[in-house]
This record gives sequence, structure tokens and C-alpha cells, in this order.
Amino acid sequence: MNETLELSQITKRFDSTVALNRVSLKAYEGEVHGLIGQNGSGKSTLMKILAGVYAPDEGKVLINGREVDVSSVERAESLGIGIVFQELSLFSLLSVSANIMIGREPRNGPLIDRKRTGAAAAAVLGELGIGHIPLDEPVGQLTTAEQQLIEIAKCLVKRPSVIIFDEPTAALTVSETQALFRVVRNLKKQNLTILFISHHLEEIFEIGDRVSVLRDGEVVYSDTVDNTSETELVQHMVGRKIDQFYPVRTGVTGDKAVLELEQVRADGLQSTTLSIKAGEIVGIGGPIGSGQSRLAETIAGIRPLKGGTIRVNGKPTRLRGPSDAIAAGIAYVPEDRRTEGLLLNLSVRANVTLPMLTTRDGELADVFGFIRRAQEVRHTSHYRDRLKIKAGSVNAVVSTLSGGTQQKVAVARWLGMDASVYVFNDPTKGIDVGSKVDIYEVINQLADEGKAVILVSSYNPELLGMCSRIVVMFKGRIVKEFAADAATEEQLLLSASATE
Amino acid sequence: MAEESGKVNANAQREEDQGRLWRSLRSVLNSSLVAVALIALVIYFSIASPYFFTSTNWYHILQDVAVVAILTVGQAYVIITAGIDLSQGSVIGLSGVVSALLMTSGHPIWVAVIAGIAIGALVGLINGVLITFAKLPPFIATLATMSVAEGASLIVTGGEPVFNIPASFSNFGQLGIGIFPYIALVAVVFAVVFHVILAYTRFGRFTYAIGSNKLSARLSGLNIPRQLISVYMISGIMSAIGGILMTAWVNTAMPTAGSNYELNSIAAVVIGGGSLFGGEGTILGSMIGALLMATLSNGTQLLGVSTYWQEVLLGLVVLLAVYVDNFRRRKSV
Repeated sequence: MNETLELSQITKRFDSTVALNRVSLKAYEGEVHGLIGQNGSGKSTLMKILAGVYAPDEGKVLINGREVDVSSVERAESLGIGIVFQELSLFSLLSVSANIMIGREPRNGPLIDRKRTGAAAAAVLGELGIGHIPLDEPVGQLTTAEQQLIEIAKCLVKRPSVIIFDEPTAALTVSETQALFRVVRNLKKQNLTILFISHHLEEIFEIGDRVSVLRDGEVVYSDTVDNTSETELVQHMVGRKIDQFYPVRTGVTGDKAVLELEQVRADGLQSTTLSIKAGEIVGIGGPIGSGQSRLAETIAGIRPLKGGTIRVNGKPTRLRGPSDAIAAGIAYVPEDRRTEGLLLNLSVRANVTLPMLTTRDGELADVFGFIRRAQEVRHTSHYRDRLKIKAGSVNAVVSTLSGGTQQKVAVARWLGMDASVYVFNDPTKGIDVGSKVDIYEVINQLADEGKAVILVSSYNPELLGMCSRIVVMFKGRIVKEFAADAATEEQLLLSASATE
Repeated sequence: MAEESGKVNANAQREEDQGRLWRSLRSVLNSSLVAVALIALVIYFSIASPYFFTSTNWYHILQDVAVVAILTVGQAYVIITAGIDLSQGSVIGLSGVVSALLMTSGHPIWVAVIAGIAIGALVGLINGVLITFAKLPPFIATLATMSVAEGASLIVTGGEPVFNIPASFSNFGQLGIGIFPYIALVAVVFAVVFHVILAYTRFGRFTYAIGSNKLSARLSGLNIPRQLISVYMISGIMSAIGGILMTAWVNTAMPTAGSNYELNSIAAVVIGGGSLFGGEGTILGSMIGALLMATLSNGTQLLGVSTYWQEVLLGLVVLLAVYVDNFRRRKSV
């Protein structure tokens, strides 16, 4: 058995955070090597290094025992490393054959030789055992699963010796997953080396020969699958105490249900029933892309309801847009502060007071619509101090602030609104620890004031540290509910992967 | 407790003062390069031509800039929302000929003026609806209404100019106080009013918010369609007023009188620090931009530069202004 791909002591830092710490890994020819780890454990960074997107700070990549330079995407390709990305990178309006052959179409003088292009694409589809997919169909017309297979075909055209799959089954049904596995086994028989990243342990046992576990940027376990069990792998994935920096809550949960969802349905969200009491922080977890954001956005009035009722303080709501949700007493801190949360080229002041100006007549503006500047500055200063926003002045332009400070501004704009429900969609993603703690404290204060709080998070320790109750979502629905003090990280991980 | 809130108030007051200082400083800095360029041009032309720095000539420059300045007010709002209004020039023609036809057919002047303004408001409304509800890009929506409005003014006039404008009306277009023609004073009034709205009211804040990040503005509860439609209606109304003033000024209404005026108003906003990506720009800066262009074309004309070369020069000024502005912005970020 030849080892084709070896990573030796790879380290990668982003500013002060260490994303990968001396990662070593060996993958062998004709084997499927499973790579698992929690959200944020470093899987994506590792893959991007192999793809030539990031350069490692330290360490070597070896192919067939020789050290190679993977400093660019082109080099990675020429070395025979192929990657099937999780997010589809296809051109939905172009045909199947155009997508598969893009950038390497056979030429006839300056023109594309359509005949040979089609023939080459057909040959690859045949190899994969999916020759039934019509070559001239625009890719956008295919099912997600078929698109995933086209993505693989596109990768195979480059004749790689190593193929990396990044969570390829995330969007697939059971039978589609089986079809994908047949293709993977086929590739294995052709003696390719396969790295298979997955959230689902049972998949690793079904298709993998070997498995490595990443945790906090380190490989903590690597062995053949026959020598291990799901429980053991989960222990390796978790394997540490929860950070102690989650502030302790003093308040208690009330009896009154503030937010009630009754059989709420939306695009990508199956019937969901959930009730949140005053003073309660309910966490929403599960593998990324399991419908957590869709749920949050539905409550925030961004996604139209396809059925069911949302009640706030017992009153049914009719959410035709975010302004209806705000009027109903729902505040939403979106996931991406740059594209959704903030007016980047405007001041902290303009950012913090915008929801008040749009929905509350008369408080910060007079009857003619003139903004009461002094009051506005006072209002902003108050919430700046409460969230410890480090900005020279309330007139500082938001884009000049650090990520953590920006996120605090995105939170601050909702504190003055005195909403009944606060929905935080991954509010601490990619920010520094100090800012995290400040935001945690504000979340706790809101709950202590009797608000109903929803905390969507991709990071399980955060859910366990902050929430009184945690629901786990998978494929667009709630699959499990825990009281936080009774739950463990192992249970959270298993509840998502064991339900199918 | 009282002491503490007093301290907070004092802090807020201090910050407010700093803010005001910083704001005015920044607005000066933002438009300063253009303002400096304007002053330099004025000095140069004053030296180069004995006719330039005379009250008659200033009267001409201000008369010249009035219509563009009024359009620029509307265009500034549109561009701050990250949009563009190409229909302005055609609205000048359409509202001009409609109000002229009404005047010459014996209707009172105020009726004719209101009808002309209503046409501008209507085109703005259509632009806004196309952009918000039909979700057309502003460029395409206003390109289409530009063509429709131009066609409409040719249809109602049969392509002929409308003459015999009532004297009381055309006098208003030609007379003035000192070096200030009435039509320029009208432009100043509108510029001041819309500057105040933009800088000090919720409406102005919402205009910047949409241009800075439409999605974030929507998530903050802003009614995006209402705001955008209002902004395009402002632009339409400003264009109509421009068209009516132009009719008074030239004593004739021509269906194609406003051709390419929209390009001048866009250039004025951009020279004055506006960004086509939205969220930036001021009325003051845009006015300086408009004045710079009018001064340049007047001065070069006095120096005997051919109109062909004037066009070339104007294009170069736009390029230079935007390039310098980009450069300055990159450095400050």
C-alpha cells in the first residue's frame, strides 16, 4: 500500500489564532481516509491548504514521498490534487458538458471543438456510472445530487491522484448518498487516494478505511476504522473541558411563554414547534446548514412563512417583512455583519439608531422628521458604554473598527428597541475572546430582563455555556431537545449524526 | 445620580461638539480638492480673460448652472441610494413642452407649472416602481423611461419647438437681482432645502442607509420601496422644475432641450464626492461640482477654446476628480 499524500507538521495561524497546529496526516492509495471534527476544528483550513488557497506557515506537503509546493490553486491542480467543494461551484446556466470541461475544452483553432468536448465529458460521466445525465442540459436544471456528481466529474477531468470531498452528503437524501458512495467506491478501485470530510460518523464507518479526528487544529486520533467506534470518535472530537469564560446567569426563567412557534414551515424548514419563556436562552445547534439560519430568518420576518403561527406574548403575528417582526417585538442580529448587519461606510451613531428611526416615531426625531442630534448621540453613547464598544467617537465610521467591535455595533442597535424576543444568529463567529465575553454578558442581561432569547451557534461549547435549553436541528427540522445542564457535547454531536 | 447623568450629558455634549467639528472638517476636506480646483480656475480665467470676472459674466455662469444645479440636487439623492437617474434630461424636455403648451393655449401659468411638475413626479414614480417592484436595475429602468419620455415630448409637439411663451413667464427666466438670476436663486433655495433634509432628517438618514447597505437597512425595519420611490420622485420633480425654468430662460420649449443634461448632473455629483456605489455624497459637494463644470465651460469659451475641445476637457476633469477621490479614499482606509 503506497502512501500518496502526506502532511508533515503543518501549522497555520490567522493573526493570533492558531487554526492548525503541527498537523501530520498520511493518506494511502486506494483508500478512503475520513476526516472528522467539530465546526471550527480546522478541517476547512486544512483542505484549503491542500487546494493551494492558503499557504501553511510551517510544515511540508509530500506526494509520493517527495516534498511539493502547493502555493497556488494551479500548482495544486498540476500536482494531481482535486477537490469537490461543499458549496457547488458550477455555472448553472451552462450545460453539463461545458461545466465539466471548463478551462480544458479541446480546441479547433481558436474555437471550442464541441464534438470532442462532448465526447470527453461523456467519457467521464460514463466512468462515474452516471452516463444517463444529459450532456446538453443546463446544470441549473439538475437536482442537487446530480450537481454534486457533476462537480465530481469536473474534478475527475483533471485526472487527479488525490481527491478531497468536503462534506459531499450535506445536502443529499439517503438514496442519493448511496449513489454517491457507489461513485466513491468506483474511484477507490481505480487506486485514487480519497480524503472524505464529513459530519456524519456513520458515513465514515460505511465508506472509510481510515479515519483521523481534528480537534482545535490538531490531529488527536488517526487509525483504521476497524479499530474504533462511534463513541470513541466522539470522545476524541470533544475531548476537553468547556471554556470557563461563559458568564454565570443570575436571573431565573419565568413561566410566561414569550415566543411561540406552532408548526411553522418555510423554505428549507420543516414543521417546527417551539416555545420560549421569558428569561430563557434557547440554543439552536446542529451541523452547519441544517436549517438553523432559516429558522432564525423566518422568525425575523425575512423568509416568508409557508404555514403555522408565530406568537409573541400570546399575540399571533403576521410577518410580511422584517419591519413587521420589529413591530411585533422581535429583534434579530444577523449572521453576517458585513453583508447584513451594518452600514459599513456610515458612523457608529447612524448604525446604532437606525432601527429606532425607522420604527419608532418621535423618540429620536421630531414631528418634521428632524433628528434630535444630541439625543441621538446620548443614546448611542449609552449603548456604546454598555457593550464596551471601542470606538474613538460615536461618529467613527464602522468600517474602520475591528471585527469584534463591529459585531458589538450590530448588537447595540437592538438594545434600545426594548424588544420581547432577541434572536442572535451566530453572534460570536470570528471575533476575539474579549468581545465574545462582552456579547455573552449582554445576552445574559437581556434574559435577566425577561426577554426570550434565541442563540443560534455553530459552536457547541458556546451553546452549553450560554443556554438553558438546546435544540438540535438536522435537515431542516428539530431532531432533539436537551436541558443544557443535562447535555454533553457528545450528546449534541451524536444526536445530529444518529438521526437519519 | 443627578451628578452622574449630568456628567453623561456633558460627555455627550462634548462628543456632539467634536462630532460637529469633525463633520464640517470632513465635508470641507471632501469637497476641498474640488473647491480648490474651482478657485484656481476662477483665478486663472480672471487673469487670462478681462471679461471673466465681471458681473455680466457671473450672471451668465449662474444662469448657465441653474438648471444643471437643480437636476444635480435630485441626482445626488438618487446616487446616494446607489442608483442612477438617466431620465432627467428627457423629463426636462417633456415637462417643458407640456407646461409651455398649456401656457400658450391660454391656461394660467400656475396650472402649467403644476402640470409640468406632476409629469416629473409621474416619471419618478414610474422609475421607483420599476426599480422596487419590478426589480429592474436603476440603469435599465431609467434608460427606458428616458426613451419613453423623449418620445412622448416629440409626439405631443410633433417635433416642433413651442414658441410664444407668455412674457411674464419668460421675464422670470431672464431677469434677476444683481448678479443673481432668479432661476439661480430658485436653484439655491432647492439646494438649501434638500441639503437640510439630507443632512438633518430621518429621510436623509434613510437615503444614506439604503445606499450603504440595502439589506441591513431592510433588516432595521426600513420600508425600502417607499424610500426609493420617494427619492426617484424627488429626482423627477427636480428635473421637471429644471425643464420649466429652462423654458422660461430660453423663451422656447424644445422637446429635446434637456438631452444629455443627466450626464452633467451625474458628473457634478461624482466630482463633488458622491460614489456610484452609494452611501456617500453631499448636496454642497455636488453644487461645487456643478459650478466647477459651468465655470470651466464658460472660461474656456471666453478664451476661444473650441466647443469640441471643451467637451474633451470636461471629460478629463471628471476622470481626474474621480481618480483623485479614489486615491484619497484608499489612503484613508
